[in-house]
Amino acid sequence: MNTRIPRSRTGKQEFIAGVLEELPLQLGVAPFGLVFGILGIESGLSPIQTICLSLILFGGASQIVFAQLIAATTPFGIILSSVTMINLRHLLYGLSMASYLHKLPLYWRVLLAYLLTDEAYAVSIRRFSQQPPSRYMHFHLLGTGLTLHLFWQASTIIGVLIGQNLPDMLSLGFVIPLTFIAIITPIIKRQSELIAAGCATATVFLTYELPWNLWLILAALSGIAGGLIAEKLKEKGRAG
Amino acid sequence: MDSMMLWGLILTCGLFTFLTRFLPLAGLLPEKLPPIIEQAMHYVPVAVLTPIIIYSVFLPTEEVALFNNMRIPAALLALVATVVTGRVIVTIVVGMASLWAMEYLF
Repeated sequence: MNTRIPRSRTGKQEFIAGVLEELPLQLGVAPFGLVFGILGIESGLSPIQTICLSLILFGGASQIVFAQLIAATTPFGIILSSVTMINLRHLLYGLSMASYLHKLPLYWRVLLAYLLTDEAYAVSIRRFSQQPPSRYMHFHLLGTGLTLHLFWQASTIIGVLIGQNLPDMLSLGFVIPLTFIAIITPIIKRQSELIAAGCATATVFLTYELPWNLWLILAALSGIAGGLIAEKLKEKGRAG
Repeated sequence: MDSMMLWGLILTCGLFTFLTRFLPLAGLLPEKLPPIIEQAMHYVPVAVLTPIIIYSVFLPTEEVALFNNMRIPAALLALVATVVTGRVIVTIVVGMASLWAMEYLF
C-alpha cells in the first residue's frame, strides 16, 4: 500500500484499505481462535458459551484466562478482576484514538469501541496518525475491526466443532503460551520491561499454591510494580 | 459455578471489557490520564502475559515440572524463532513441531 493516497478517500476506499491491511495478521489470529474454541470446551464451557465468550468479550488473552480460571474453579470476583485488568490496555488505545473519533455519532462510537482490539488498533492507528486525515477514516477502523471479528468468530466456531473429538495428546493448548511469546518478545525492549517480566515470573513460582488462582493477579501486580520502580530508579539515576 | 452464574459472569466480564473500550470514546475520561497510570499500563501486557506463559510452560499440571518437561525446550526454541523471524506463525509452528518431535523421541 505505498501508492500515493488521494486527498480524500471515500468511505468504501478506507474500508477496503483497512480490510486489506488487516488480512495478513489473521495468520496469527486464526490459530489462536481455533485453540480458544478447543480450550473453551476442554475447560467445561458449553459450545454456545464458548462462542458467546468470543462474541461478547472479543479479546483473545482475556478469553483464554477466563477459560483457564473457570476450569480451575475460581471465584467470580477473581475472574472478573483478572479479565478486566488484562483489558485495561484498551483505555490507552481508546484515548489515543479519541481525537480522531470523538465527533462521530454515538452508534458509530459504540460500534467502533466494540471492535477495538490489539490488532485492529495497531493497523488503524498507523493510518490515522501517518496519512492525511479524511472525513471517512473511521471506515478504516471498521474494516480492520470487522475483518478481525470475522476471523475470530469463525475460528472459534471451528475450534468448538473440532474440539469435541480431538485427542489430548496433541497438546494444542501449548499454542497459547507460544502466541503470547510472539506477542511479548518484541515489546520487551527496555531494561524496565525485562524486570517487569522477571518480577512476574518469580511471583508465579512463589504464589502458585495460593487459593483462588491468586497467582495471576499477584504476578501481574508485581510485574507492573517492578517495571515502574525500575523506570523510576533509572530516571533518578539519569537526573542525579 | 452453575450455568446461570456462568452466564452472569460472561455478561459482567463483557460489560467491563466493553467499558474499557468505550469510556475513552465516550468523552467521559480526561484527555490525558495521570502519568503514573499511563506508565503503569505500559507494563500490563508484559506483566499479565508473562505469568500465563510461565504457568503453562513450567506448571502444565498445576505443579512445578522442571525435568522431563518437553514444553521448556520447545518454548525456548519458539523464543529463538520469534527473535530471529518476528512472525507469530513461525513461533507457533516451531514451538508445536518441536514439542511433538521431542514428546515422540523421548
